[in-house]
Amino acid sequence: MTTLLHRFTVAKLLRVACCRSVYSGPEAYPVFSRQDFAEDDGTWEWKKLHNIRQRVVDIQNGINHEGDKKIVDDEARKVHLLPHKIYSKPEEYYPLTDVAKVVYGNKTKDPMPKGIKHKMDPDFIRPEVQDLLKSLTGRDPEIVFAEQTGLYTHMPRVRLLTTEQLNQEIKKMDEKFDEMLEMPPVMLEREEIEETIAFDELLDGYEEGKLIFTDITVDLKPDERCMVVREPTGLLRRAQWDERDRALGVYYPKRGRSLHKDPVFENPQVAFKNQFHKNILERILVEFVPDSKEFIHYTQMVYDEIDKESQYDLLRSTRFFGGLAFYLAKHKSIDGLLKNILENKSSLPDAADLVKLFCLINNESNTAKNLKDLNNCDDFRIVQVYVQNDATMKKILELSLQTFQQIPQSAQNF
Amino acid sequence: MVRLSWLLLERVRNFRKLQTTRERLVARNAECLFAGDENIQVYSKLDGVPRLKNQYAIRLAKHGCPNRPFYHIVLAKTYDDRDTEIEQLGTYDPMPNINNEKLCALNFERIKYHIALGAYLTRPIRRLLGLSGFLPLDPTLLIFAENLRRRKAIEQKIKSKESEDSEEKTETEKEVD
Repeated sequence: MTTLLHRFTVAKLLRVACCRSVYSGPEAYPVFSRQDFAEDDGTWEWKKLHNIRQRVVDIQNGINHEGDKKIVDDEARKVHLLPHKIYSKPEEYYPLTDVAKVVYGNKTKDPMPKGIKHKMDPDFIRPEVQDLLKSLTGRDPEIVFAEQTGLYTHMPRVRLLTTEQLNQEIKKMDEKFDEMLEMPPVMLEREEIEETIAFDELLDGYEEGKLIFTDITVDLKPDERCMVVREPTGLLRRAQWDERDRALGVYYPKRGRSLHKDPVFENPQVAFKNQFHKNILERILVEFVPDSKEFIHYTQMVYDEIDKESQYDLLRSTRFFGGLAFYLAKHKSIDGLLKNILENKSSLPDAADLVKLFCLINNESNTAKNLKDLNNCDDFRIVQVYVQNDATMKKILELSLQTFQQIPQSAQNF
Repeated sequence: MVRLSWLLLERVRNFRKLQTTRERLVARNAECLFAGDENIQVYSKLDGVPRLKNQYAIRLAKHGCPNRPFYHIVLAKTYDDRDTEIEQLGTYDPMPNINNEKLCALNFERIKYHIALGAYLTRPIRRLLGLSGFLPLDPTLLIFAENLRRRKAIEQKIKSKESEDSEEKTETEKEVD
């Protein structure tokens, strides 16, 4: 009953406050009298709720009245508004959300299809092969640290150093040598991606061209980025390697890379005439990925040209010489290089290193079978065995070998 | 202080503000995620299903030059101008390139986030997300494709009839000659 009195007094106050203004008409606020409230125990809403709660309590206790079914049905429909769990504290109902998880927890890391990995050539990785290639390239500081057009050159400096400081500076230069002569990797050709996600026949002919979708989420490596192509026939598939490279060039461009192909790689005769082999190889390194078909094809083109013209001095003491020697040893065409080493450079240990490389890569050749203990044999003996067994230019190489035979061993390496 | 007449004019000019908001259903017991945000309301109609009331929309904003459109996929409020944005979620180029490809970029991570908070997707965005495989296909696309196919079939019939008539004419002319 206290609530009823409260409402009555509120109505009285409202009547007093609202209706006595100049701009309000005679019926600005309806006038309630005590008689209106005498018959009701309360407002109709209040009555209804009071009634329903009483009824529910009666149903639980087992007492049934008329119209129970309607009340039960209405209450049953409201069950989905109730939480599935009864919370004792408001903190449980409004838990704190980890915003970082919500934003970064659902990253679209699309793993590449099975079977596709970046594979290095297993022969190239071996440390014995790497040591031999490094010894073959040479370390001429005049070529390695030569002036490059377009880069800023500092003025020379003269300093006074102690022996310890000198040795430290020499160590730094050795590290720089290794940086400049770091060989680009020789990898196996990457396989084409052929994975279909869906085929919707009802979409046939909706457009006349392809649609390429790329994922632009932040902090994803280019291998993890999802790229998908929808064709006008309605086929949904993953993008192939050339489409991937093009899309990455559009949205994540790299310095030195272009989206269209340069015709230099198709017609390099003018560049070869002017001895720009090294520049072309640097260009290939920047533009293409070492996995790709184009990289392997164009580098092999340059190496073949050098082998034909016997212009090995162009790449000596650069970082491309290792790739040259590896390619020639793999395809069993060392003879030109051997001849160059024996005649122009006139050093037997380099020739022996080349033959050792050949044996490591081609284990089943006749030279490898005859030379089982490579360390115990002489350099001369190693080259002689190769010339006898696996050489194509036999007579020319035998002639060049004879010079080393006649010279006594003391003056050979001079 | 602002004049009442100016306010009324402003209202008439920006008639987009009078547009109604669109409704999204919200997951059960997920109202706690939106508790702190004032812009988002969760309300329920008489059938008791909770819905999200939100004025964010993901749509295309047209940039580019005359006779060369280029669209940014953008999060904006429904009553804002077409080219305004709160966040950019991608791009779409409707003109095909040399290789007959149309390029579209989508930031799926952020699109997921905004859809979960109840952003409205317009028809072209729904089509693009369906074509990319992120969402199921939009039925408007399928209807459009079918109509195209029917039109092409009709045109082919007309062409074949015309070629038949021309062949008959040449044959009759040869016979006459």
